[in-house]
Amino acid sequence: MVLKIVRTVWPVMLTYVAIGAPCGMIMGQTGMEPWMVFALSSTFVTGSGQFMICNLWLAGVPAASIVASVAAISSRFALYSASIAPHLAGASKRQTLAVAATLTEEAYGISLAKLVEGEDWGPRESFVLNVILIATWGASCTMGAIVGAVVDVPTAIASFVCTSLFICLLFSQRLSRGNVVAAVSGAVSVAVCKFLGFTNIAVPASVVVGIAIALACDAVLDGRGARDAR
Amino acid sequence: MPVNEFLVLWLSSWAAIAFFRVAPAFALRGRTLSPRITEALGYIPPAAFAALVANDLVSPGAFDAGPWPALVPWIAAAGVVAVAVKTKSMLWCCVSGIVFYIVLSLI
Repeated sequence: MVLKIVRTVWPVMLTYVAIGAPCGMIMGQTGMEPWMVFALSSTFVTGSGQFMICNLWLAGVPAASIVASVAAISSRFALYSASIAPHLAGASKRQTLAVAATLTEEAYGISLAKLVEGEDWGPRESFVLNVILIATWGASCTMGAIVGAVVDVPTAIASFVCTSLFICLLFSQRLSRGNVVAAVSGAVSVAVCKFLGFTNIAVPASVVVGIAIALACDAVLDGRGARDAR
Repeated sequence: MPVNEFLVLWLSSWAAIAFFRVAPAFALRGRTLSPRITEALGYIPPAAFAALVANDLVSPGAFDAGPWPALVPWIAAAGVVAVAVKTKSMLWCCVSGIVFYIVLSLI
């Protein structure tokens, strides 16, 4: 079963190695020991969250604000978990816990497709897939941290790797009116916060501002649309 | 990073991530999220990633050292945007970001 799953996910594993190694290098730059990198990588399994911790830590942001930012960005897992829940209706509580607790974005995509197809795929296969990807990600990040301790990477360049990753993730979002409003509002709010001196809370506060403005915009425009239709 | 601070960061963040991963799978067995909540959750990634990019690029004192050093990350970011739109590849975006940043810093 493991070989069959590896044959399915090897391209994802290669990507994990390519992204995980630089991620581990940057984590090493924050002063994390390899054991810390392994512990964090193999429990978080979210590149954006790990890059975020490093980026905000290097920028001197307080721990509470970093945790709030990571929690905000990780709330997307709630969506994945919610959408995979109906496909785990026949699974035991223990199997549901195992699959949900180890969910990653890529694993979610593959598992959901296989569960919908329904052919020879169940919670057990989903869990093994998750574990394979978590092990690949954890090992890649740890290797990166070990290599990064030997090779000196300037902080500004390492930090820009995070920026590049966030740009990629931003432009991978669906291009809809609400998403554009949320993104622009969030970015403008960060600039305003920073110019007003609220650097520590700029990111989490701006995420809330972005969501609130996008929802308000939807309510106003949809309300107007409904009125126009009448 | 001191071990105490690492443990606080790691365990607090992990608790939040684990909650988001596990809670809906159990809470929504046989149920679905309301459209309003789904919509709000869906806006988190664009708002968060845009906020993070802005947080990296906007610096009130950036022009103190002259216009060029302040413009380097903005121009490099514009290059990465082009690569992101074209390829949607995290790997290519990271590689191109490093290359743009180093080349522009050398000018």
